[in-house]
Amino acid sequence: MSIYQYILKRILMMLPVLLAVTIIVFSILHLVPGDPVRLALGEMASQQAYDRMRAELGLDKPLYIQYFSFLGRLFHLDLGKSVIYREDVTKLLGGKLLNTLELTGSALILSYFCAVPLGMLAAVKRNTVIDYLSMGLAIAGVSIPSFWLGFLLISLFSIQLHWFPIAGYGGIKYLVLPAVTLGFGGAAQVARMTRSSLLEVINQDYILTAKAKGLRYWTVITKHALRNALIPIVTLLGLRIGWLIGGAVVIEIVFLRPGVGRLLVSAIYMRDFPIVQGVTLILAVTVILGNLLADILYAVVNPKVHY
Amino acid sequence: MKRHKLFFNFSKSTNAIIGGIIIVLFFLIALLAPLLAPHPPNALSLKDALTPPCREHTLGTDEFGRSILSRIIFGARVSLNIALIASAVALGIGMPLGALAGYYGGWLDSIVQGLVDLTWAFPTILAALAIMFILGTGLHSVMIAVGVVYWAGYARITRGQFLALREEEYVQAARAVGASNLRIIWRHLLPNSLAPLLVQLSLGMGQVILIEASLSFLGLGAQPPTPSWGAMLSNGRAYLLAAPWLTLFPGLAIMLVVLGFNLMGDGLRDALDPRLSHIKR
Amino acid sequence: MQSKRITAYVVLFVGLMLVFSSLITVAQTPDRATREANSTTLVVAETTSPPTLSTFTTTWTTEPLEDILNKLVSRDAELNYRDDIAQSWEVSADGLVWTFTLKPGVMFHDGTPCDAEAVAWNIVTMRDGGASSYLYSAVQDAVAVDSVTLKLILKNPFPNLLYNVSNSFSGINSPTAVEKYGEDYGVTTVVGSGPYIFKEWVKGDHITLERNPDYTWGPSWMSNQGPAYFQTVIYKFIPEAVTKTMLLQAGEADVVNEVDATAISAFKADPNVTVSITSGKRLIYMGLNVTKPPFDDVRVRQAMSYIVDRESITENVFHGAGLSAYNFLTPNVQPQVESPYTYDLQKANTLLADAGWTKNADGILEKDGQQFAIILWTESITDRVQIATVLQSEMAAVGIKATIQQFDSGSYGDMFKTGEQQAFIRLYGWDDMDILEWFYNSKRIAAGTNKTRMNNSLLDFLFVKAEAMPTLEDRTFVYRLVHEYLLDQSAWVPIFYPAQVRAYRADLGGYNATLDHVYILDLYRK
Repeated sequence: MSIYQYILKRILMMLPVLLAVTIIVFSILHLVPGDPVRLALGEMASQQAYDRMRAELGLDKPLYIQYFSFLGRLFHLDLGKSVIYREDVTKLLGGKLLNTLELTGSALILSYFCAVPLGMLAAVKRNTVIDYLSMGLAIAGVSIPSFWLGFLLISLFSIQLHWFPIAGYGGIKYLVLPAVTLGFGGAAQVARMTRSSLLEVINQDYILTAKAKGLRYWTVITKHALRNALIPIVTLLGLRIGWLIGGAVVIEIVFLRPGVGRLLVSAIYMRDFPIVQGVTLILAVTVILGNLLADILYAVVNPKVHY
Repeated sequence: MKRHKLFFNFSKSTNAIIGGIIIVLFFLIALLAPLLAPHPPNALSLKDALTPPCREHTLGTDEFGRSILSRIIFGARVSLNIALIASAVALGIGMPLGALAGYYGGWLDSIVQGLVDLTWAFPTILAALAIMFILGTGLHSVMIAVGVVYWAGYARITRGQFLALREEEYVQAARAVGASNLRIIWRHLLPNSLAPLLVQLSLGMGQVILIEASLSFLGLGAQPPTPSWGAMLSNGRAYLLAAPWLTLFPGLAIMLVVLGFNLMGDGLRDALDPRLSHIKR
Repeated sequence: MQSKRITAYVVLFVGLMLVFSSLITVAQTPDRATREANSTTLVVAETTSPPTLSTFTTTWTTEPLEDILNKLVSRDAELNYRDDIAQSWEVSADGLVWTFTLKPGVMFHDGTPCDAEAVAWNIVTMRDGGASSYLYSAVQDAVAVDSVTLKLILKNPFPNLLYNVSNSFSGINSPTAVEKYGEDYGVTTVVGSGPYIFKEWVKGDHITLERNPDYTWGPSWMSNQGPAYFQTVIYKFIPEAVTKTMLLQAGEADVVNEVDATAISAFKADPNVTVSITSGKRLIYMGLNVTKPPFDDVRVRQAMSYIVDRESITENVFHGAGLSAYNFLTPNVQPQVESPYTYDLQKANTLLADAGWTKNADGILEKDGQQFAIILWTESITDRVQIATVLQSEMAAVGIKATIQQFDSGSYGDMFKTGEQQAFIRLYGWDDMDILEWFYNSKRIAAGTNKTRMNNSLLDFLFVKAEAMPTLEDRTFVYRLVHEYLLDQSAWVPIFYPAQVRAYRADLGGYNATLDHVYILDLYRK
């Protein structure tokens, strides 16, 4: 099977996975207690208003009919109407998705821009204080609960130093702290990966040859070694995408960013299934595509693997 | 050059050693909790509420006047338990599925891949909510929930190892001699896949503790008065400004133990990774 | 000649200037001008975001709505009924006809008049299928006699009508807008006659309001009788208590409604922040299911009321941000009844012993070989989990093993339909005596509203009687009997009345708040 066939197969495989996601989300939300209509109307609402709203949303119909009508709408890219906010889910999601992408995107960029040089430095200066410090920082990065780190950063940079606003949305100054918080854990992993794969490459023959030919040390590192070492790092990128979006949930709550993560959590608590379905589907597509990317890159790196 | 290598080896093992010491220390603390804790962890003493760290209460008290130190000591039991059991659940699901996918390939591989995608694509909090509803809230649900959302990493690693290993000469040779699939998996592939799994296990234990903390942040963690670090950290956040010791110390405890697992995992990786072994040689 | 003409022009010009400026000063005192210049944007931190802004389709209320809509009648901080859209009202001798005289010239933001017809339309529409239809269930008919005279004809005397037309659910919406926007009303817009106009709503994040420049019909108890000072008001929805605290202290928010008890001391120490603590309209209590052992025994329930050290909870857990609760109605609400219960473990032990519970070797209560072990339900909200934790420890002190079970807010309400609850922590927020009917009428057992599952035909009878009483005094009398009986039955263990704690930046002037709302109309930046 060629790599193209493999990609095609995996993309086709997405459909059953996505279908399974929708079925599971649908069942969970109907299985766990909690009635979105009652939650939207409030406990004291009249029975009449309650019945009317259920009928309007089609929630009085049998479950399988509800599910199929959801699927039917999905083919027209219509995710239905939020039970709580009574607004089209696609419309609700639009702006929030952008917001989340802004956060995860900048976290990703930030983590790679800091981590790759750090990892390189650690590899080149290995077993020196620089190596220990940067790797210590990296390991600390993956060891801190992100919401705690978020609050700590706010206390330091917003409350003590007044460098950044505490929380909110709009402009780059609101983005820095959440992106750093979210990117920190990721940066740590990337830095460690860079260090180890660079170490592996550095001692290989062609690098030693290049060195022997009298090329400058940093030229060797950046031109030859890094290019090869980057491949596993890029592989990690694919896996990071899903992880970042998952991590964004907590960050968005701490920093009050109106993104899909925060929307998802409140929608789960309000049992607002159209929103939950919509967000889950988007997450699923992103994660699956990220994994596929990782798989393809993995195959590129390791010629022994064939599909 | 020789000295350099020696130094490098030494540093590699220092990582693992430091990590190992931290972990062993925390296991000891967990085991000896009743002996070590200066106060009972769950006894309320409202008049002592929010005492800053002092002589009587080394790490201060929480909003109910309970000793933070005692709760961290007893919390070690909870957090390490979660780390062990949730990881065992994850490994127990992930390794066999990954092995099947990697060895047999074909439609089996597709199904497992699909399940991996499904798990990764699924919001942790939703899965946790469903499991809590089915099994009831409490620690055992947290462990299972975390295990269920975390198995995919193990499956992926096992599968990747098997994919790479099954084409190796010694596996082909074993097959040529007529060894059964089960024997090939059990005797040849699994032992050779253990190293990365062990590394992942060590790193994963740290991750699991962090997941419990974020579940607590969303109100889905351990139930009161159970002293779980995650719950302490998330309950204390309302007091972040007025009484920072409520979050500082459980946060440090989590960080330290996760650090321990990560250092150990790192050390193990360096020691076990065949790709790095030529540096050692 | 030339100079004379110039002088004439100058005189004319100056004269015109004087006329103009006097016109301006009539509308705008110098005070108002500086206030308006200083007051550009106000940021208010709220905890929860509403689902929709239409009172016809939800019973969740939200503070922004109080600025957008007027009501027929308002209630001041002392809970007196005062003018709003109506400037006066009278009741017929038989209590069946209420006549409201409305202020002339009140306009909705869409330019349509807020007259008697519009108010009548609101009342009838709400009654016939609105979410809070119970508000006007006593109203037979609403008649607009002329543009400023509204007659409400009742089915039976209903002295509590003024409460129902003045509470948070009875804002008056523009009928034209409600019909024009249909399903989108309350979702994309909401149109009232209040001091602020709805501008934007980013769901789950914030609501932005703009000043209504034509507003001159504010209630007479407001110090500002003209348009509001602040040009823009942003309500931000912030679930995290600590974030609200930090935002206010940093000046990124101006007003915080629902200040967390943990933040009070920090705010009091901050010279830039003013804290306002008034008694609230909420009660946190532990409910007991009277149909399930062990709480089917009234002695056991009474014992539960004796084991709670409320004063200690108020002081140590909530740092004085509220009052210890001993009866079922909040401090401002009549009829208050002297509670027999204090913190008295002796009495509790005696009652438990009378009920047949004896301590075993481990110090756990036992009866017929059964341990006194219960599940204590709570919603996973900080103050309720805290109370559950304290109660768990206080129960342990008398030999009761309580296991806490937390529920997320989505499932908690639904769980009571199962009837599996034993003991549960709940909060209600209401400031009228009829809340007792709401929680104890047996007809609401199946819906999960009557959570103690008390089924008592005498109570049901009294509830019906109370609502048909001709005067408030009679109604209060009946509810006093109900309240006394319920206290004796002890299906609720009242614990704490959270205070209404708000905090605002010290550079704000004109702070004017009631139980329900901080009136932005009066607020300005100094």
